Amino acid sequence: MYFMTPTLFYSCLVSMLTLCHGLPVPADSVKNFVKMQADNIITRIQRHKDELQIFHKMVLDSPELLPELSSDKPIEGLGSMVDTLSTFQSVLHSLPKGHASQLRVDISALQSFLEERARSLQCTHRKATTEKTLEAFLKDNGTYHITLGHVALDRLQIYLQKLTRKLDHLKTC
Amino acid sequence: MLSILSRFLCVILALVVNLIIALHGEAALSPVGGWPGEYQGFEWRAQLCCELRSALNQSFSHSRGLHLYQCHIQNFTNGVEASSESQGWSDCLDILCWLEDKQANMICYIKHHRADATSTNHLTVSLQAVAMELDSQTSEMGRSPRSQCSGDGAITCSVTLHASDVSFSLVVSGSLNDHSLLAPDMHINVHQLYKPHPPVNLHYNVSTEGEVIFEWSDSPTSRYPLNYEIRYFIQHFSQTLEVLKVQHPWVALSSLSFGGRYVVQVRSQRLREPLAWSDWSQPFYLALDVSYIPTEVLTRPGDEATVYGVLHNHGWAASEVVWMLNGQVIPESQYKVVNTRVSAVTVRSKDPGFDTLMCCLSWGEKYKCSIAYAKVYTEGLFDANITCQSDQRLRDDSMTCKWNKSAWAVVRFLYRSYKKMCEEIPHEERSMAQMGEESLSGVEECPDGAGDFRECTLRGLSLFSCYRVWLVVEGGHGKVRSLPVFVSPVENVKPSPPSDLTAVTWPNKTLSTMWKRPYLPVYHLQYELRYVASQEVADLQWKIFGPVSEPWAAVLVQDPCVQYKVEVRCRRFEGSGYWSDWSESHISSVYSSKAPMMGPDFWRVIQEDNAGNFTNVTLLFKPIPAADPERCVLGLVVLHQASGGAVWSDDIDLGSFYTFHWKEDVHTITVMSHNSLGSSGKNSNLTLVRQPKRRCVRWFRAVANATCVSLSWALVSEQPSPFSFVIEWVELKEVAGLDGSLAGSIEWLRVPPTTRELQVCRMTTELFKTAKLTIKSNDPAAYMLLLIIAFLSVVLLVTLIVSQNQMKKMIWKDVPNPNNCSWAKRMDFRMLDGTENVFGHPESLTACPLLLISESICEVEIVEKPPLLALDKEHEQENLLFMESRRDNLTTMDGSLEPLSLDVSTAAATPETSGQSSVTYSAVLLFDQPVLLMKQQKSLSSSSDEGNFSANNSDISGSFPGGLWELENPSGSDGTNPRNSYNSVEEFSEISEQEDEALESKQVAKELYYLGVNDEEEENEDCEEEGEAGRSIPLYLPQFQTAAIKHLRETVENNTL
Repeated sequence: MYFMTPTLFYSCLVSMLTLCHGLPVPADSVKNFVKMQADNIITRIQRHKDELQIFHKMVLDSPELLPELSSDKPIEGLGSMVDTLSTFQSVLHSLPKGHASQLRVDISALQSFLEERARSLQCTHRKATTEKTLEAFLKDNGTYHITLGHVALDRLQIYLQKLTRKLDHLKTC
Repeated sequence: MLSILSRFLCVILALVVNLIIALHGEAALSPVGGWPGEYQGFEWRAQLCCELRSALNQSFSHSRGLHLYQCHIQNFTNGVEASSESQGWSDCLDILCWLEDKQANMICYIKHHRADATSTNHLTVSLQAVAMELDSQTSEMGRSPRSQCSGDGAITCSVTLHASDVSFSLVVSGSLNDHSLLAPDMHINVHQLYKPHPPVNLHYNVSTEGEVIFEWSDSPTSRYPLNYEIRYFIQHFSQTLEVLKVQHPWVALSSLSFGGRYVVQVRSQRLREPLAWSDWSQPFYLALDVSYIPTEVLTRPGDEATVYGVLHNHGWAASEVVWMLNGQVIPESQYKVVNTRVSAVTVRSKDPGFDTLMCCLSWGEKYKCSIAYAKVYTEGLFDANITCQSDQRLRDDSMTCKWNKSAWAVVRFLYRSYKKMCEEIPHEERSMAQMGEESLSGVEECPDGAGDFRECTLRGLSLFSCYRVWLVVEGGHGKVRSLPVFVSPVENVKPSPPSDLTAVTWPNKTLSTMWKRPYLPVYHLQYELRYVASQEVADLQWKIFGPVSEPWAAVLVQDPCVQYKVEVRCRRFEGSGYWSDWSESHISSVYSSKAPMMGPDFWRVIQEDNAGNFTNVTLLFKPIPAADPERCVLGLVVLHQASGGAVWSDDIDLGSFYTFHWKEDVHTITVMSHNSLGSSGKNSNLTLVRQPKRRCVRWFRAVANATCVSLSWALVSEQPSPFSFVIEWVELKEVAGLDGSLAGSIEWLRVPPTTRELQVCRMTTELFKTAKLTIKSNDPAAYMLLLIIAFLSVVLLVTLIVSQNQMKKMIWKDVPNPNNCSWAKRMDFRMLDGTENVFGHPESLTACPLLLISESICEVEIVEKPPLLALDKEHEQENLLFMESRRDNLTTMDGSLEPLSLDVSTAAATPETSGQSSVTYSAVLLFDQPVLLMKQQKSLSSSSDEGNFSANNSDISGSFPGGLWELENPSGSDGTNPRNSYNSVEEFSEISEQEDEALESKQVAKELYYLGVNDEEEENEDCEEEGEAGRSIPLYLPQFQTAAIKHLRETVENNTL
């Protein structure tokens, strides 16, 4: 009879720990964390642009260019965020090794965090796919990595700035 | 029945065997790619029709009799259609072959066309795959094992494909109706069973005339001539714009105009046996914006390179484009318009390297460009200014190399290590390396890849090897590279900074410092020391000492009582290398052999909380004079003693002020100096009491000119003598960013009790050294000022002698229109009963009780309009305020009279006015008569020739900053505005080792009195000129202590009780 007591205690303890582990992270904490990551990327892009003072006289972007990589993509929830970041990531990965390397790491971390968040909210998993048109475009224009990288980072910066203003969508799939 | 069963089993067995073989073949052949097309259920049909003929002329080994069946292929076809009926033949065999299971097996089915129960047929079918392209040596090797199948009436036979490019040999033998069968070999081409693969490698070229040639390639498995169909449409609009048919793998797309991204697809069909079209090719997304011809140029220094820019956007005209080289506009003279859509530019590269050319369109102040650009590689070696720095701070030795490059270029950082010193590398090898003629063996690349960064860190290297490092421009075919640099890491070490600093400031003005060198590098190091007084945090003015070769240093410093922030760095003693980073800061300790003697002199500023809950008191400290270096002061202790017995203390750093809340009625503050050996024994006390104040100054005058303010005053009575006067004023400075706004900071000064005149001046150090009087004598305005002051003094004396009635008449005579005068507005002259109401209570002129501690403030507003605009700006920064006492030597005041800075802006005024001051005389209170607390009234005096004085009974503390601003705007202030009154009692105590001294100090403690004089601009005879007050300098003068400590104690005790 006595051996039941510690057993019961440990089982209760384990149950409590499991419960604690499964407790949802406060929403504000998630928002702050995502905002901090986004701001980090935004600032890093800005530093990249400031250091690369070669486009200050040029307008490279146009609506016809790379519609798959639009910074105006709607922010509807975690799924759309992950998809958009994945698209940006595929463009950055088309650049030569070492280009925007830290940004790739930062975006990947943010992407993973949002995916994990979506899983915790029981969101339907959407397999990330790169559009054929984007693949073809990158195949043909990947050699212009300086301009392509500039356009992609510029749009990513705008998109993340928009994302930081719509952090309430972190609650939805 | 048994035989039928056995035959059936045999057929089933054969089928099973064939099926297994087929499965095996599929598994074995699955890696074999390159099928000639796509299997789509195509079938090969034939009819083998036979007729019985004499076998005499036939050499047929299998004939058993005189007759045999000789067969001919009657009909064969590809496709899914059924074959036509046999035409007049008696016995025919239907043959149907098809591919099974994704091209792995060829299956043929043979059936006697007229088989019936009476016919006795026995057929054998032999299938064998034969490679189509065979040479003499491999002819035997190209045949697969023969597959033979036997049966009666209907036979199914299969064979496995071993290659994509094969044909099948189909041989039918056996007997029909007991007559041998003689049939020709049949060959089936497997290509006949496929549809072609779609074209691949879609691309386009642009001619220098602007024509877009779209090209593609046939599938590698295609063996036959094909014709093609091309279709294209705008992305997101699936409606096909045009379909073109050609028999060559290219087409000119002339009707494209920019408007989005086009999707182009091609399909093919066999030219001779057009069975089926291939599928459409993968879509090719054609984004036509600007094309460059050529897209890459490899040139040499000095050679010209011409690049054509084809504008596919019909909205762009070639005559309007701007060419840019690396983002910089190229002069138009280098352009050439080829046609309306083609522009060309010619550039000449001077130096080896990489450049980009872009064809853009003016877009406001900028240029609109596409993301495409032409790349110009100029062969040769360029100087990348590669510098390397090795590091032994981490677990592994590392070397970080940095370089310069064009932001447009992508470079690879290559290196090669040598197992010898750099000096030992032969000259020939160096030359070969420079020419790029050496082998690439042993060459490694930066592990981080060719990124957009300009540095690479090599880890795990040998510090004592030699490394050759260089850059190669990506895409330059190895012909565009930087000059190689031979680096010896040991010569480029940046050591770790020294550690474990210790520093002591000694009384002999020596700052001695010791530190510990880093373990590595192993060679001898030199050191550099930098130090700064630890108080100078805001603006670190480091002083450098060194280099020294030993891990210690002794530096002479100015002040032996100051803590210094010390940092050290090191580098190789002899030879090349880098300075380490500065070490962590260390604050020196100050050596003292005795505790400090005295606490600091201080004064207070009182500020009431808006809610009235508490009062903020700020103590303003005078710097402690440098005295005995053995008694250095490291900090202050503020000891609070509040009514009710509460005692506490605060340790504070040496600074200029300290603020605390004053809540109790009586609050005594003692400020002590301390160092590591103890606290000072002789300290100043200040007791704050919420009690009325009284004034004891008979009059107070202030006259200002360009650089000085002359102050003078007189007490109501000289008995008892005050301990000291405190002069307090506000320095006005323009606030940066706020247009013309002024901010004030309170300054104060202690003056000896015997002093009655004081001159406070601002001058540059040089002028001060020359002579202050010289300046006055050279200033005509100052002469005028002196004359006016003398005249006013005479008038004042005369005025004082005149009786009250006479004075009343004079005053009424001078009173201007009340509607135009600020102070007159506040007065109801009809209600006045004599001048007493104007100047205050007459008893105040004769009363100055010792029992009631009253504080009165002398407030003088000085309007300075000196010609200061000619002052040198640099000298303005160095202006000093200095004092001159005409009667007393101020330096006898325990060092409390040091020069103070005063902002020049406070004196800056309109240059056309002389240095006149507005002086208001105080009401004079005598010590020996009690004075009741009276509400403040503004002075009604004007500095007229009649010499009025005010009967100002203000109880405001002179240290009340809020009052200052009101004084500057007298028109907006209410003369009856009551203000809180505070009282301060200041003592100098001797909290020394001897109690007797402490008791004695209580006996000699002094009592403070404050005198107040409200201001009116002396020169403001016309009261409408009050606007000038905005440039005034308000002063609170003077305050003094008396020796009546005994009365004070009694008063305080009475009040606190």
